[in-house]
Amino acid sequence: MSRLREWVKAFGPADWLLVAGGALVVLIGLLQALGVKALGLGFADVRVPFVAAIALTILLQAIFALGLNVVIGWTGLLDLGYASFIAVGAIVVSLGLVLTKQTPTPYPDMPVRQLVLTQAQRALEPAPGGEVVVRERPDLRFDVVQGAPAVLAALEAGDRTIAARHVGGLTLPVGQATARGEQVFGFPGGYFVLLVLAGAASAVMGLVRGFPTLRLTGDYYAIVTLGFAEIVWLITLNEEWLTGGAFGIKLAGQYRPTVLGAPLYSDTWQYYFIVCAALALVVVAARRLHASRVGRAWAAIKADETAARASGIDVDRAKMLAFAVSGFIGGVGGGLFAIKLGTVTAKQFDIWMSILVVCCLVLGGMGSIRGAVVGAAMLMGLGELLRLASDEGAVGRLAIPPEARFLVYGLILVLLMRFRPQGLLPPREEGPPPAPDELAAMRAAASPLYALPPTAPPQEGAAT
Amino acid sequence: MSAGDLEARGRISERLRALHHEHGPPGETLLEVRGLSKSFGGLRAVNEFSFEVKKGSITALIGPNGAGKTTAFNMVTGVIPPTSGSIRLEGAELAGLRADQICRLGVARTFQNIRLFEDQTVLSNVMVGLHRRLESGLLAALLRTGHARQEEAEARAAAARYLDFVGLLPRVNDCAASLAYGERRRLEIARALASGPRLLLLDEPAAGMNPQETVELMALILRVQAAGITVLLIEHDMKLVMEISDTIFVLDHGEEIARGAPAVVRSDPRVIHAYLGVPD
Repeated sequence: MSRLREWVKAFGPADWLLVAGGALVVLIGLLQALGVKALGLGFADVRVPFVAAIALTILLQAIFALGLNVVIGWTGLLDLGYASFIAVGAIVVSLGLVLTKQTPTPYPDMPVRQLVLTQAQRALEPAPGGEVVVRERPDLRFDVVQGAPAVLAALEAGDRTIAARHVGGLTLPVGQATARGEQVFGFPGGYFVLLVLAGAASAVMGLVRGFPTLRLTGDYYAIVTLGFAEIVWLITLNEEWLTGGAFGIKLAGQYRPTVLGAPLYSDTWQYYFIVCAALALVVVAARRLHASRVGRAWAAIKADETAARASGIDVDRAKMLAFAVSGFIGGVGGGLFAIKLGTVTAKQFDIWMSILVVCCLVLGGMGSIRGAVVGAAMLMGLGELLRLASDEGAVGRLAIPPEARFLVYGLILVLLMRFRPQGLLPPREEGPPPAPDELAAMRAAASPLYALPPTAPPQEGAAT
Repeated sequence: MSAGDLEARGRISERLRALHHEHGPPGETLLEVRGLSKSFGGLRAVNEFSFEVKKGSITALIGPNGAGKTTAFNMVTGVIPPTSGSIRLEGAELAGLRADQICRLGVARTFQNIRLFEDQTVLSNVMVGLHRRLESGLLAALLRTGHARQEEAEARAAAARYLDFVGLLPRVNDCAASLAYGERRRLEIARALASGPRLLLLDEPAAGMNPQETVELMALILRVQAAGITVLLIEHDMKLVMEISDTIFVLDHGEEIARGAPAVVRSDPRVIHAYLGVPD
């Protein structure tokens, strides 16, 4: 308890801000769990699902940033292809979910969650997005509706066969219009097993990429990571039998894993808290690693590889470890991201995604755990705000194209380089000089395991 | 230098000499180098250089700039691989090993252009030096096992010990980059000592130091020797070399031109020529 009190006493303004942010994140999750859809705050109505979606974007980005931080911030190697690790994680999880689905059990009265009409989509009239409630049947709710009114009517009547037959004159497999909660993943907790597998797969990829590049540093290393990410991207795009190519892997209702009694969708509180817990775990792991022998070895490599070698650090081994750890975190993050995406396609994991993660680190402060989280919060939060502004009529008359975000990111980074090149929250290394009694205690505690003459002969020359 | 400084210097020298002799004469060979050569393209930086370092001794490697001293150091510590020749540490062959493997066998070094981990604290720098003597890996760190925590606490205590040894303990929490020049040298020595070496290589430890700092450095080197650690050093400060070395090897153009006790080397005409040029 007293340790906690001391820890809190050392808090600076930035720490309090982080605590407040964390509390807000948990609060949003609780509201979601309680089923609150909107909060009237006097000046504005806050739509909880919308805020939760922004929070999720930030949380996931923070996980990515912390994963990349291991290689860029701690080991000092510029990795410009981190999106490929996220992509591999996302693909492993979605493939795992698709491959391990159970035979569907129809529950005709379950509210229909999502209507997926892949092949007939082009034959259909564009239908409005967003949430739609079917008239006179408020229990049937569509979050994403892609289908003709006739289909909706048929569904309303509870006849899926008819619904399928009505679509643009095409016959569709009825199973594609699946109800939420119909399918469960093979075994309980299977999603978490898949997350670990995703992490492992990305870690292996990190090793595969890392091994031939052990001799490279600086720009050369960055170019290789760029090229490698491009290879992964092209494979994802072209190997349709594995990744679905440009269409990607769709996590339709029957492939959603069940966690805590509900199928996992991006707007469920279960998913929200899984992501929160994952970020918390990653933060704890990062803190522990940073303060360990392994973390010191990475920092030494970043500072001076030659001196690190001369100090007995097996640089190759330590680097491989960093690649594996970084890959693992990215893979797990990707596995979480897959649920949010719903459809995992190659185009989401392009160079911009990699660059954005790097930007979070630069903004927050390289090598800083708090910085990675704050950087992610600021960039992603800002991105969502700009997206809001770019939605026609959302904010006054501002109509900014969505791509303008990158212009603003660029501007922020330029200003940062000019006024605060170390980032917003750079790692704190220095401490106050020890008090005389602390010094005495340190001298007394010196371990006999590391024998040297107990004390220096008194310094007769004046101390410099 | 004031008269008081000179006096202090004299007193230290006396004490150090006593310490030195108390430790006893050097015994068997710790490091044996035979026919060590290094070519960079057509340049023969070190040519068939052989020398040995007696256990417990202070051995100096001197020679004019560009003589190949640092290249020899780099080969002994695995920074660069030798073109040919053998380097044996108590019978174990070092040639062909990586720098970290050589460090693990008990050879530590400092660098001519000080190589600290600049943005880390003084304590962290020494903790990195302890790396090879600690065991905790990834899992132990993630789970923060009892063993890992105990090891970490011991390592901090040990690092404090090494800092105390070089007189930097009060600066334990400072950033390495904030240290003064002489302190930086001493921190580098503390880091090297932390790896628990049998042989410590110092590459121009007194370079850039004022006379006062040099005297303190000499005291430090002799204390390292008194701790049972053999020292091999490159140095241009002849006062330091002559005062504390047991044996001196003189290198010029990559080849040995003289060896022996300080008194012998000092009067060797070839050494004088190498440093001052041949009289017309």
